[in-house]
Amino acid sequence: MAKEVKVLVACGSGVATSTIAQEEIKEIAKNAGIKIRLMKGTIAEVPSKQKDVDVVFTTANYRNPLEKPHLSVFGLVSGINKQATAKKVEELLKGIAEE
Amino acid sequence: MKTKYLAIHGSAKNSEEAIKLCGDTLYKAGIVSKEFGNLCVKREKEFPTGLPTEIPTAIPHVKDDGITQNAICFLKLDCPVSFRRLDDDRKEIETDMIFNLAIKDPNEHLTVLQNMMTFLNNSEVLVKCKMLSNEEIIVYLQEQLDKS
Repeated sequence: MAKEVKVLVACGSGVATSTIAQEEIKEIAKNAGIKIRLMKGTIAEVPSKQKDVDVVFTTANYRNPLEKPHLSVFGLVSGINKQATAKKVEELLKGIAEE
Repeated sequence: MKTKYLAIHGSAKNSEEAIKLCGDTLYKAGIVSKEFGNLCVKREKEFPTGLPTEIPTAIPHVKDDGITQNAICFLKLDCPVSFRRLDDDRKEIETDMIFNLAIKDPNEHLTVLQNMMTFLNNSEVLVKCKMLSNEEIIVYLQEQLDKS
């Protein structure tokens, strides 16, 4: 059985855009049949919290190098290129689930 | 508890002044602490909130324990100001419409937040916002954002 993917969703303050992105990612994973466990956080927490997860999604820009796979999911929040972003999220989650 | 909507028209020289206009309005309505506006300004410097949509807007906000209720303060400026972009802080947008979010509980506020993003991506409704009076905007925001 594919493993559960631990996901961190982070934004500037951890209240607005990460909440929206989290809901979208939940939906994407559900439709793709991927089991995920979500953690929410702030951009400032990314360097420390990444240790506990398999993949990091951020809504705001994050340019520092990360140990874990990282994807910017601003599109899920703003609606700009939403479909393309959703597809990338699904592929990334799938890849990790099948590792 | 229902989301509270406030609307003002004003003028500001820059994003900082614009955010403070909203912060003051929310403070006077008893929704946030006196410091809320300053906290939003501080956060905006670190994590900007300008949205590069067809009609750009900005959604300044901050996590603050002093918030008594979920609320959105709409500000229409007579002249646009610059905000750095949420997705890329090296770039800027110009906007005359600011939506200052006071979020007490994001989960309770989730539908409104999701509706909000759809709303901000819809040029038609944003153009309408520019035309309406403060009272009309409040009714319009209620109609558009409270629907589930």
